[in-house]
Amino acid sequence: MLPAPIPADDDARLQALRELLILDTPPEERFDRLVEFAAAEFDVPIALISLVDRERQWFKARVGLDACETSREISFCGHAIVQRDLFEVVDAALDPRFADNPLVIGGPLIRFYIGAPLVLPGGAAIGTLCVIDTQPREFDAMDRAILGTLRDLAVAELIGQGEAGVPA
Amino acid sequence: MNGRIARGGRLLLVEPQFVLRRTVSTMARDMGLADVQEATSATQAGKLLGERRFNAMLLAIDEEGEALALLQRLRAGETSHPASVPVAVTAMTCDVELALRMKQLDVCRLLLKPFKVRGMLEVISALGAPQALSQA
Repeated sequence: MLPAPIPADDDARLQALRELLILDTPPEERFDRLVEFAAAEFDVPIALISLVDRERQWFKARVGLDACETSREISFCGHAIVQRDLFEVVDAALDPRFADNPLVIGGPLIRFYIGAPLVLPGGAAIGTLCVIDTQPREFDAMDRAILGTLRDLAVAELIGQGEAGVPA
Repeated sequence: MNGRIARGGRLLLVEPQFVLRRTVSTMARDMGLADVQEATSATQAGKLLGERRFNAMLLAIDEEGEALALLQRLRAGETSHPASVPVAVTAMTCDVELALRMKQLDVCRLLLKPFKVRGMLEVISALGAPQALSQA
């Protein structure tokens, strides 16, 4: 297993994350709506808004997963935040970086992962909006564009410029 | 069947669910399918129809009947728009009565739940492509 890399700007990234004052806060409907929508849109069992802390990834919103956090070392999202593009693992069981990952060989039995980095206006990638399947699959260009748009909505919520919490 | 909007025409999207509405409108704009104006309800859409000119409408049917009433006014020429403006609708369910009503009101496409962004973009794209819709 390849542990999640630590980016060179991790201290600044963590500072930006902590300034949001969102870690360990209760669930919020505006974020729950986004992951529920993503899970339904892509027909996947798991969708998360994951925030990558120093030693853990913590889930601000989650569908299909009981755990509220996992270690950063084994996290897929820890890999996703070191790039600006979407990070996709088509079949984790066949990917040498993840084949023996505890999240692959045990619950939740991840096979497919794609995460869109949550990049704040200042440039800090604090986590991801990600979707996970227990079957291998591949996103096409339209799927990727939809996930990117949902990610933008999540970032808008994180920085206080969103509308997902406004009642319909 | 009515005429369709030109690609990149102005579309009024009436959809109460924020995430779906905003994702569809953003992507339709990004893809150059249409210049989308959003409305959260038929009431709001009615006001927008009086303020701006739209080339087409994608309308969510509500349980209160306001959307159908708006569509009826549109077809009766009671708005500032031509009665022939192309309209597609989304609905939670569809029975024979609603299907007949849609036909009477010259609805060019009916999309049923579960609504997917991809499906709604296809409908918007079809609103800009006369040939595709004429086969529907």
